[in-house]
Amino acid sequence: MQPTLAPGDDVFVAPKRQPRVGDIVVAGHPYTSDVVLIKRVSAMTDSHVELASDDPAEGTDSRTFGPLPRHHLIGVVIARL
Amino acid sequence: MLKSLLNALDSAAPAPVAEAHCDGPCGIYDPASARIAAEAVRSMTKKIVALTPPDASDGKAMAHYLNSLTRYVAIKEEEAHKAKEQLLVLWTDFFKPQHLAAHPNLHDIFWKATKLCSACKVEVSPVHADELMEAIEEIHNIFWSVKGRKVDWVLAGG
Repeated sequence: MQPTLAPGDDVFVAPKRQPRVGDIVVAGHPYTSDVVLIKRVSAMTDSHVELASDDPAEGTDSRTFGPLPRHHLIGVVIARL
Repeated sequence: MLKSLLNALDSAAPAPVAEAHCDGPCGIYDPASARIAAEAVRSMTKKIVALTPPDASDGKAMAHYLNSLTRYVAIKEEEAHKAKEQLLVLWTDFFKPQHLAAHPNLHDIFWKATKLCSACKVEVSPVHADELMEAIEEIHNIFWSVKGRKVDWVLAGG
């Protein structure tokens, strides 16, 4: 998520906040249950969110794994410490 | 003040880690697959060099010779291509810009290693087969240092 976030950055996550397009969110990986993703919401429907990387050349996101069912969302990032 | 309080909280109850680089779906990379293919290339190269053509009048021996030569060449071709594919996957999928910062010669090492795969296909060169193994050993060392693990360089063929 560079340049927005660097490896090792700490962030606050609001678990109950409804995400909007443009928010950075934390979500469960669609295929690997023990991996948690941090990505930016690029599009939304009632049932799914599309996640994008701020560094598209490096990140893995909905271009690879497709739209994510909304129940994978863990929360919205509201601050970087 | 706030930062030190948060650090203390994080030490007591560490926050979960979220990944921005999640090379799913499997995330399993290992230079061993390229090394095994390159070992096969070196083995086939040695066998081709060691073959002695029989007398042309001995049809049965000539058939045996041609069959062996063809098999060795085919396997060398196939395994050299496999080694190249495995190296390209490591180079383009596993390694990231931050690894290049720590290993500035990374691109050059991979470029030379993959060129050696091509040379091993085109030629019958024990020298290039050895150089390919040396290049993959160098990649093995960088790969495992990036992963923060000590993994010995071990050959299947001894």
